Amino acid sequence: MRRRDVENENGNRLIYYEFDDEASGDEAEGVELERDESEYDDSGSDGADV
Amino acid sequence: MSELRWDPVGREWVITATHRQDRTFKPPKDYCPFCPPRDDGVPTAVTESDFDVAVVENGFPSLQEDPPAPAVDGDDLRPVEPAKGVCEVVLYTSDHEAVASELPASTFQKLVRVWRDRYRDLGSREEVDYVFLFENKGEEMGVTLQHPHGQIYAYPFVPPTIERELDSSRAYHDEEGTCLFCDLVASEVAEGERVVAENDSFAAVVPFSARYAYEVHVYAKDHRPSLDHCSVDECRELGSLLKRLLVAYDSLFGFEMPFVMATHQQPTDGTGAEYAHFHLEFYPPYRTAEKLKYLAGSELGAGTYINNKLPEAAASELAELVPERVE
Ligand SMILES: [Zn+2]
Ligand SMILES: [Zn+2]
Ligand SMILES: [Zn+2]
Repeated sequence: MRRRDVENENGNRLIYYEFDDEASGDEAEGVELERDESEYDDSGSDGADV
Repeated sequence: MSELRWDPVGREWVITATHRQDRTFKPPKDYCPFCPPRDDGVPTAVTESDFDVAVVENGFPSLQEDPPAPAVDGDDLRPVEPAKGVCEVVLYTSDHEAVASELPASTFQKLVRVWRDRYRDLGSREEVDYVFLFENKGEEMGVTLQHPHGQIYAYPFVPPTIERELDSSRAYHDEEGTCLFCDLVASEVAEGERVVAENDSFAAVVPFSARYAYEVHVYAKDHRPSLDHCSVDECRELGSLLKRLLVAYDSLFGFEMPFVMATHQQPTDGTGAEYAHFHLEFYPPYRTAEKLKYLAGSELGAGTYINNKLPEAAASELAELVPERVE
């Protein structure tokens, strides 16, 4: 599992999780690649609703 | 505006979040904020045309990383705090029309691993005491967006339903020296009467004292305080079991079953390792194909649920509909 942190058009944090074909078994996870500090910028939030 | 207001009688926080009144209400597919970007140039919450599972900050968050100052001042009797926390949306697929129970088992397995990562990531924040992974599914549950998605609230406190469970489990652990949930799931599996589905690591059961006709809880069979304690293989097993359960739910009445799905697990404030036990709870509102269960006087006003269905009968109906294998 890979994690790609980006920012969407509204300036909100957006994370894509990507899964390559993996053999079964445990692996260390939770370590992210291509992490960008700007992802935590929380300005202008009027995009997604729930 | 958003803030936490303390109810000294109910002993619980209430989140006042007036900005949520303006959120998008049931937009057509062309305006879905969770769909990939369209040609019209109107931005959506995502940037790619295709993705496995994506997580995005909620655009109308009840809890915020940098919350506004409260609108009112609290006092000793009624404290007020900023609504600090995180609200995220989990997009299960880039396909707007997808029916969850028809998604491949691999999607459910991926989702569980994403949940685990969000639990770890958000739980590691100083201000977060509880990471709540949940889903409101179906218009009956007030869902305003059809795109398959769930939510995450990272609270700056342990919410009361979870705290009440942990109080029971802690007291039981003090007296018996074992985990209440471990003992419950072991006895359910041994008796089998209320088991809906199981595999090596997880069991789905209609609880003995179910409050909703087709309520189902999914428990880790071994002691796992949280998803963080589950291996990748266990995450996969959980994913497969969730798919099997959803297939059964959707075939029960011949329509996509609405529900609230909640995950209960160890708070991320450092407590509960011996007595918190990871599980999911599903509350579907239908008691028959036509009849909805409404929370009314006894439930809302007194806190006592009335269930019109024998839990044992509900379990055997659902168990009949659970596929043995899913792809
Ligand atoms: Zn959509
Ligand atoms: Zn346990
Ligand atoms: Zn629970």
